[in-house]
Amino acid sequence: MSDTDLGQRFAAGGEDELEEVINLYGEKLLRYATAILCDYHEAENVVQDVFLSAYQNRKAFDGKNLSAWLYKITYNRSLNQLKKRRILCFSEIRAQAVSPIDDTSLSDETLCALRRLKPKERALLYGRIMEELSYEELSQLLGCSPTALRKRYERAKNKLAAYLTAGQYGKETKHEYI
Amino acid sequence: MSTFDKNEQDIHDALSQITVDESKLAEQVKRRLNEEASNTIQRRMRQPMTAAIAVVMSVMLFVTVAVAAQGGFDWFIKRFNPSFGEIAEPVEAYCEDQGIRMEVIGAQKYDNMAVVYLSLQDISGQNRLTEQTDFQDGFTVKMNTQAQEEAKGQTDEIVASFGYGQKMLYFDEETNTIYYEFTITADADSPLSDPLELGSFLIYFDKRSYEEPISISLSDIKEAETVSIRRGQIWGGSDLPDDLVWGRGSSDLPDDLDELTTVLAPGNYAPMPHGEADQWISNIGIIDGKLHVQTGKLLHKEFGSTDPNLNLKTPDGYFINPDYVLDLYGDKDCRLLDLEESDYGDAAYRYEEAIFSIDTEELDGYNLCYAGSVYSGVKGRWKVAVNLSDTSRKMRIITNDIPVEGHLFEHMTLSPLGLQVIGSYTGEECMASGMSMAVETADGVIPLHGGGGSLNSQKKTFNLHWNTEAPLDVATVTAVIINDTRIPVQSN
Repeated sequence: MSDTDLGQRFAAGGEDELEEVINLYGEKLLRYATAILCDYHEAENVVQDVFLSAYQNRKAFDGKNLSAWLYKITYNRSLNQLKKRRILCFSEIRAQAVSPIDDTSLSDETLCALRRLKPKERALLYGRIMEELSYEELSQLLGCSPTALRKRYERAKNKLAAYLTAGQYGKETKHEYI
Repeated sequence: MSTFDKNEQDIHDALSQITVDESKLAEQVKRRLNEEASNTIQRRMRQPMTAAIAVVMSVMLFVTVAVAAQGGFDWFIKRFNPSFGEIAEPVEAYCEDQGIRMEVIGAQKYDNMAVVYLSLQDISGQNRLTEQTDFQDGFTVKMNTQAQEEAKGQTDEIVASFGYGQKMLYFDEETNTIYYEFTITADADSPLSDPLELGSFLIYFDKRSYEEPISISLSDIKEAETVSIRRGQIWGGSDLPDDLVWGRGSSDLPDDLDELTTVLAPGNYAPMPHGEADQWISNIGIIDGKLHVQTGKLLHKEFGSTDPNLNLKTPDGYFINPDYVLDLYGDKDCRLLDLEESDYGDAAYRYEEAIFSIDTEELDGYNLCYAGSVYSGVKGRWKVAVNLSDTSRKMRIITNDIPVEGHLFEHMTLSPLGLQVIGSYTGEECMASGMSMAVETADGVIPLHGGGGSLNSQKKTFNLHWNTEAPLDVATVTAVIINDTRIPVQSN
């Protein structure tokens, strides 16, 4: 079944279709949100919100490109979640150092290297490298021109690769600017 | 992507480590869906009763407050059994303002760490509190003034002076009361005040979020009325093109930046979908072949609409975000302010101009969409000072000279709430907050969570803390374990 077929059924359907969509996209969106947030617990909540929101607004969805729609919601809600974090200075730092390591299997080095990137850079790298999205698709998702994204991607890629190679821990910062 | 270069392969390998458990996701989402449906039905059933409730509210008000007061700390612990209840003292101090009562039910301070149980109750009878209620600008905790002044000289290096974790324990709809647990930690440079003083000045009740189309037809958008600006009138923005990023003073703005010398003239073009009068579309039009959409917003309001997010929905359902957004401020006559001559305090309006690079000949069928939130709340003065008994006997202070991977955890303070450390490091970067921390006790090894605090990169020192899941009996601690290094703690 194509993404469009499922999207159209979802837009007109009920909880059975919701479950089908969660089974198809849940894991992918959890990985995506975890990569952006660097926090598995927050990612779980965000992805639950994504499916709830998508289901409650399904009648407004045109049925086309369900995958892109869900990724877009996940991206926006992840950024909103990061904005909420700004208020808790210590918790921000605390969240950077602990639970996600056990929950996501990410090593300390990987986690800290990821955290040194801006959330948008993490979303860009994940989309490009793990989801193999084109710059045009990423442009729809992240809201930048493909040309600008290409430049940002190269820069983010080199930064993250350098952090990973150096094996350095992330330098602590008070906020993540998104 | 058909082939990876080496960097991409490294990143792929790293990101592939992410493991997730999606097995319960469908169940969780459906449960929340059913809970929300159930809540909606209950709210609908309650609506006809509102008038009747209002009639008896004056009587009920005193009853419910009295019940809460009678319950007190013991009632609270029994009701909620919070994990740290047994190490907090009963307090029952409160203050009231704007019809909101803030009560500290229990608290305890251990050096620079504290746990606080606190409730908010609407005693006005308006039932304004909701499960979303929160402190708009955070929760205030008074710090030791003398130490703060001493720390002023190194503000650049201080990351934070205090922080807190907040958990809503319960929302009692009947009494319109919310119960919270706070865990607070301060730096040694700016310790918690004695008595412990807690407060807030902005409490929001509710947040409504919108993601909706704006009822503007884009098919008739033409050249718009514009105003010429100097670079000093642009206050900043987001997603600016890489080569156009400049400092606050705009001194780095390129001289040939023609496209940023004209913006839309602020006006009152159309309302926002949320219908609040404090935010609107102030102009829309085409400048140099690009679609510009400008929003206006009243400034200096504690509550109301958040900054909007605008995007375009294409005829085939894709969303296009703006290339970049400019920030501008206007005075009470809607004239754009010049940063070099005016200050933020002079501004009455904020304008955000979003620029979209799309084919402006084919705007028909596109929809301008809005995403944002609207907050309601109340401004007031809530402050409670709490005298607590001496807890020094429940703490242990350890001096250590065993380094761990170039980091010396020199002064360690163990308390029932966790561990605070003042230390130093020798490498380029401080890695202490990423280290695995645990305490060894007679009953086994207890992992610690956290890593908050501050760093001083010039002095190469750190001041960090870790928390426990459950109260720690410090008398039973035999060692602190940092990564794989065991640091013995001598028995008292």
